[in-house]
Amino acid sequence: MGKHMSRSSRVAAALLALWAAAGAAEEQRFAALPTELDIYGEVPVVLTASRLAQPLDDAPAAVTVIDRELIRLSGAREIVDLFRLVPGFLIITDNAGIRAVTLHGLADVYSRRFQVLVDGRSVYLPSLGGVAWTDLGISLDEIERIEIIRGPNAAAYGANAFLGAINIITRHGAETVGDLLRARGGEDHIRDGYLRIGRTHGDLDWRLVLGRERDTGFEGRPDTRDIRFLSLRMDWQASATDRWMLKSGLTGGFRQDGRIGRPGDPPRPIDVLSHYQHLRWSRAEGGDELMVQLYHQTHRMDEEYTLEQSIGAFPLTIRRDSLIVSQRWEVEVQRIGVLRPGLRTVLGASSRLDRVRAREYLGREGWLSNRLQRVFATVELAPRPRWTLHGGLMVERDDISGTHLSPRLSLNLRPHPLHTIRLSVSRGYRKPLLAEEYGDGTLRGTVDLGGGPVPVYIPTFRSSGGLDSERIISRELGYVGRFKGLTLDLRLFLDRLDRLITSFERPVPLTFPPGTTVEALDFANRRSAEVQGAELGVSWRSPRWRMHGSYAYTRIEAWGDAEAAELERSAPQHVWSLLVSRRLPEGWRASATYYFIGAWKALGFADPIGAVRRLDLRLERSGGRTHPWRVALVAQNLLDTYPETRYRPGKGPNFFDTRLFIELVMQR
Amino acid sequence: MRLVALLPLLLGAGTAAARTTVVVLYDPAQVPHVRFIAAFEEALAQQAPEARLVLRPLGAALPERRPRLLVAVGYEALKAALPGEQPVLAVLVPRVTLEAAIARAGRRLAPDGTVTAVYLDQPPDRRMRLVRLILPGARTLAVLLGPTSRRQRPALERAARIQGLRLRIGEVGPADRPPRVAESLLPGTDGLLAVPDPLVYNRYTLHGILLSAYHHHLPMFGFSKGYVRAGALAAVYSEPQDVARTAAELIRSALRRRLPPPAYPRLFRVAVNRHVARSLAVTVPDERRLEALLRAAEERDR
Repeated sequence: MGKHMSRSSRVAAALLALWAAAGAAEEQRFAALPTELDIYGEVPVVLTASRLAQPLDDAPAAVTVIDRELIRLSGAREIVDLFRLVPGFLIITDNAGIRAVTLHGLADVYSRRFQVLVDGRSVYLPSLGGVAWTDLGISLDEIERIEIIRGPNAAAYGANAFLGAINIITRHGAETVGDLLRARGGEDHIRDGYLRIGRTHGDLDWRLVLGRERDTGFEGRPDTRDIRFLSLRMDWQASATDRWMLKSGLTGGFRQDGRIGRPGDPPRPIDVLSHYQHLRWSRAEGGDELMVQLYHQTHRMDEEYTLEQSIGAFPLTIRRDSLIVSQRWEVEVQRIGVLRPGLRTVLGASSRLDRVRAREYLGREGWLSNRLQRVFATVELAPRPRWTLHGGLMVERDDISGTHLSPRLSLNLRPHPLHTIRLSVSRGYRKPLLAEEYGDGTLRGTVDLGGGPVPVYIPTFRSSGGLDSERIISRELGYVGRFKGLTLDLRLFLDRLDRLITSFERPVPLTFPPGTTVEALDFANRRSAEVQGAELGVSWRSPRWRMHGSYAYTRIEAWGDAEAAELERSAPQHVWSLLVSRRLPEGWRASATYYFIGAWKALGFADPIGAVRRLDLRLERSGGRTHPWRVALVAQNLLDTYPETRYRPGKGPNFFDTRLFIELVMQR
Repeated sequence: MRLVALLPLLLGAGTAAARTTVVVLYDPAQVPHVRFIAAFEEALAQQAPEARLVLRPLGAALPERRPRLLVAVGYEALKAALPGEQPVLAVLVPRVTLEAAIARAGRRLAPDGTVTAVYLDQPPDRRMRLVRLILPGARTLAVLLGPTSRRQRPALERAARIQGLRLRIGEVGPADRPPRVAESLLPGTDGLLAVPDPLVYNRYTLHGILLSAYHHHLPMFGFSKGYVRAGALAAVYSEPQDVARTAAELIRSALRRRLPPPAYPRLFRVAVNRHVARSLAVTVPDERRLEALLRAAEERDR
């Protein structure tokens, strides 16, 4: 005890000394008067080309930006929930801990056709595809903004930016100097804690984040989760032009899965552990920027449990030990250059290694890997203020599917400075996952025929292999208009998707009883689809008000196999949302968000879901100039209970009733 | 030795009866000083050919004979020039700094005293006018003021009122974090006007302040070209050579009549960060056009 005390007091003393040193430096500056050095001295470039958000009317694609204010006003607790504000986006919920995001349907709970980047690091899982949203280890408080590219943009983001790309940009260390403590508690046993410590030492800014998120998920479902995370970000301004960023994070905990009262799917925890390291150097001069980055990440999911079932009259015991480890390494170089006014280029290259270990799914003990190299270039040519031409090309080569060229061309016409019309056409690919190409899943168990246990093997996956990449060709007509604080973003699109990888069941012989077969999953490039629709984004802001609306109309036509029609119902015809917020006197702020999702059925889910209506309210009071604080009360879904997608037969719906929680944030 | 030093002076006095010595005190290691001097020599040859420039690097001994006028380039030179009685023209020094320095030295500004200056910073009217030209619909402007810049508050408020702008002022004390004060001040305003004050704006705080303004989708109006490069939307500023022109004019008047009162630089430039303008979706006229508009407005005022 005494030893512990002395250690903590030593740490406290060290912190105090740091504090005092910082104070002394402030004091020194206090005495100073501005001189010619303040006016003519060199200043580092803060808003570099990569940090600046591209305005909607200049972008070669349809983009929705969710900024910090919108994140706060939405009352969202998780990143996934924010995508409800984006035209055409759908959230697929297996249970509280397993969720996916897609644009215009075509997805199951492992949405595989999306690229997701966090500060330029791809968090897409090479094993099962999709993103483990709950394990990202990012709290909404750290996010500066999220840019969502609606529509394929493989030319800029590479394969898997198939239906779209999500770009999460976190806050710079200089912005989070000070301490922040957030506590959140509410129904469904929401108990979240978050502590952020940020410091600055001249040119070095850092923050350390410690967080924990807990809840018991949906009523009647064993989907409790408890996730803890620790992360560090350091930003060092080495000179007026050079900067370094180091990020590192560790996430661990469990998410529960299964079903009460079903022996084949017992409630059990899935242990998750993930970590990443990300180093980036950049040099910015004027509009030019050179960036080199290197990162690594490992995601681990583990569940171990025993199933007691039977084959005929014989007891069958299956021991599941389904560890899935996904690993990604990447090194990337990128250069943004302004060759002359009106001509901007982005050139880059990267090399990536993906590795997966998943015995139960891949049928082998060791690592299975895939290497990917790519080179990309985009050119933005604006010879006249009235039009901008964007051209992009990505060349990618990987071990599974070979070389692909993803081009993109778009023309932005500006008949009036406030009105822009965009025409674009692009082609993109989605490379097969390691599990799709090499899937060889087997459950191992024993059957007792009376004379003691005999091993049995039950096939679950049997990939025939030889898969080709999925291909999308997208054509769109867009319009962006600005009217005094109001921005309108309209997009009409026609996407043609071919060689869609589809899972199907194939009979595979069982070792026991002899002569019997079991249905195992296989994958093939079987289906095609044509998706057309319209999207509308509206945003309006004034010093007091903020409004953000989205609407999407979707029609899907699909063919290729007997069940291809299920793709046609994988997106609702109409989906929309509207957020309205107003600042009130005395630091009060109120916001309301309404969501409407038409009838649809995500792939792999049993029943269609009827139209869903949801209303969220949020009321906030904030204050404090040097020690800011805020209290917010959030009520999610004040209307009727609705099913938040349903999973396979027997798993039951995820009923979302009204959920209340309160949030307290203090800073110093 | 002394005679040799005096020789050119005596000769000069002999050839052109009215040749007067102007000693310039500067730091040769500083690029802005050197650029000032190059332009100053040229401008002075036109404005006041009777003046004879003697350049003295900081730290070197001042000439024995009292010069007619001492030109102090920058803050360090000003501190060296102020003790004593000789008339001083200060250049490349912001207004608040000059005022604090002469108060400390117990001297007074012309026309009552013997110190005059060409300020390095821009007159508040000019700065507010630029804000108005770029943001015709703006109503409220956020301003962070520190212990030094606090004194400019009345002048800033007056200039803002003329342009129909309201200022929301946040005072930054030695214990405050400027980015955080900015964060609480910015919501509900139309932009941020940066005013030089080392406590508020320095290379360590600029990052946080600029990012904070950017996240509120608000432009910052800087006070230098460097700030525009860093990410401010626009700034009106004067290069050392612009200051030199106004300084030469002041000298002409000082040598022929009397020491004129301090003035802001008459020549100025506008810089705009087009990347930031594009990103914030602000339509900003061409820099040259903004300069012409500001100049025309100042002509009208005169």
